[in-house]
Amino acid sequence: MKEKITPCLWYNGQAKEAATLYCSVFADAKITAQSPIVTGIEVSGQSITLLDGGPMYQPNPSISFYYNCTKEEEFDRIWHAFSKEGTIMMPADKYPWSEKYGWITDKFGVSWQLALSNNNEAAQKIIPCFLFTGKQYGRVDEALAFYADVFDAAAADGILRYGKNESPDTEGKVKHAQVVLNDQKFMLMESAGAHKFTFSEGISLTIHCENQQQIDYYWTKLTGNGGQESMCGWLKDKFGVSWQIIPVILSKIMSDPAKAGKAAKAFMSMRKLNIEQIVQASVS
Amino acid sequence: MKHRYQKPHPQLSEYIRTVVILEGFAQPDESALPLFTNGIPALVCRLEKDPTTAADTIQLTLFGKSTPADYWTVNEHSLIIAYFFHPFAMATLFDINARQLLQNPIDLATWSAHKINALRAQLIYAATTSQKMEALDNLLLHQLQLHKKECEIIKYATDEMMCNPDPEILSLLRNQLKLTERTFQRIFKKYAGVTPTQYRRICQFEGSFAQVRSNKFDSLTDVAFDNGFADQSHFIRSFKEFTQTTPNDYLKSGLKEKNE
Repeated sequence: MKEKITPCLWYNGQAKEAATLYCSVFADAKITAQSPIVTGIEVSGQSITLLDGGPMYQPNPSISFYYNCTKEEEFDRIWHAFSKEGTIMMPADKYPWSEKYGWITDKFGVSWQLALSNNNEAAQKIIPCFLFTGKQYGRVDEALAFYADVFDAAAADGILRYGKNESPDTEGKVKHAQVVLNDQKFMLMESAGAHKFTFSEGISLTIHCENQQQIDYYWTKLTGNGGQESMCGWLKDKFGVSWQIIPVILSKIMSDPAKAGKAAKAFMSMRKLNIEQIVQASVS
Repeated sequence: MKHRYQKPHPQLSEYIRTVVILEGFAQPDESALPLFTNGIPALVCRLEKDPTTAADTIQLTLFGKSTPADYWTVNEHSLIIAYFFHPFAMATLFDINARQLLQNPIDLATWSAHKINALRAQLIYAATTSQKMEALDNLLLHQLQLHKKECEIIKYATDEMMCNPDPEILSLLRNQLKLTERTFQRIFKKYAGVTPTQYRRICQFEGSFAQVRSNKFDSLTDVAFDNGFADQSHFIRSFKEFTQTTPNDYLKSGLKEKNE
């Protein structure tokens, strides 16, 4: 199974404003869907969902986005735009892993790691990066094994571990790992520093399923071993990472004003989504 | 401004007193505000249409006490649908601690964001006011389905205690509801905000006070026995606790007032 996994960013009434900002600075970016609650954008072919979900959750740096810039001009343009009312986490500079790199949180709370990469291979433009902090610190090895079991995974691209003198981090813990899940790259890091954030609904990942069997599979696997069911297709895995297990057909239904309300009525009371019931309700 | 009362959905009639719909007109007219908000818990759904973008802003709030008067101000772009609840029903249906509801209004978007987003989608795509009301009914019916057992327990127990506030009613209720003392205590305290014993004593006092006020008694001993007190001194103690005065003093000062 190689279902698509796309990030979903949570806003409180600012999704359209954020989408407009991202599309004005990112390379090859456009707004692809617009509805009162959900705005969709595509950046170099990658889909990102912006959800106007209300005040309950906020994005935080526990899941950030590693953004590969091919030109320095692109890096500077994005950095300049995000630094307005944003927060610099790591200054733009030369680092061992990149000629030019910087970590910045934009004014909406979404965190971006910009990196100038010289190789022109068809690299994935945006890579979601999980940062395990607090209670989740030290669980990256477990997470690598867990996600490799859940998804169609290629072997980790190499794991960089902390050395002896990197206090407060413990020797052997994962400084950086890159994996390929369902043909998409992800990064996992852990940090012992005193971070005030951990995984939340503020940044979630949506798995787009073709059929009920796939929904059932991901729902069972990801809620297993200490995960937690939530409402309307949302769940948390055992590390607290939020996932949405959504049928592909739902975005089509929700973009049809004649069907959207009826479908929403059906899934309002569901935990795991049931495709047949949603489709039936939407045409009733 | 135009307002109308709507009967609640038949399956919700035990929990909802009435539904009020306010629709704005061109000239806001605050003086026409109906007086129905005093102290009654309400779920208020406020929809505002942005005149330029036609986008809806939706605010869903639970008011455990009164809804502030300025919340009812509407203009030509607003629509308010308000559900007024029977006592204790709101805490039980939404599974929120009764005391928490009394403290501050609760924005439902912070109660269960995923459910409320699904509700917002229904409200946005509902073309008519009655379809919007149907969407709100859906949420309440869904909540009732989830918490039917607790809703029935609280409704039955509070009704029974109001009719018969004898001390024996508590063990009788536990038997009828097939609940252990601990479970009954926990559920009742959570959704009614007081313990079953406190609630029974409030009912008992209310009954005796009503009788004293109405002057329908021969002696205070009769009032004590009519309202399930073991003797007159228990009655006087209860009266003092709730009114800071004795029945005799109350009767005297009441008479004094009448004579003046």
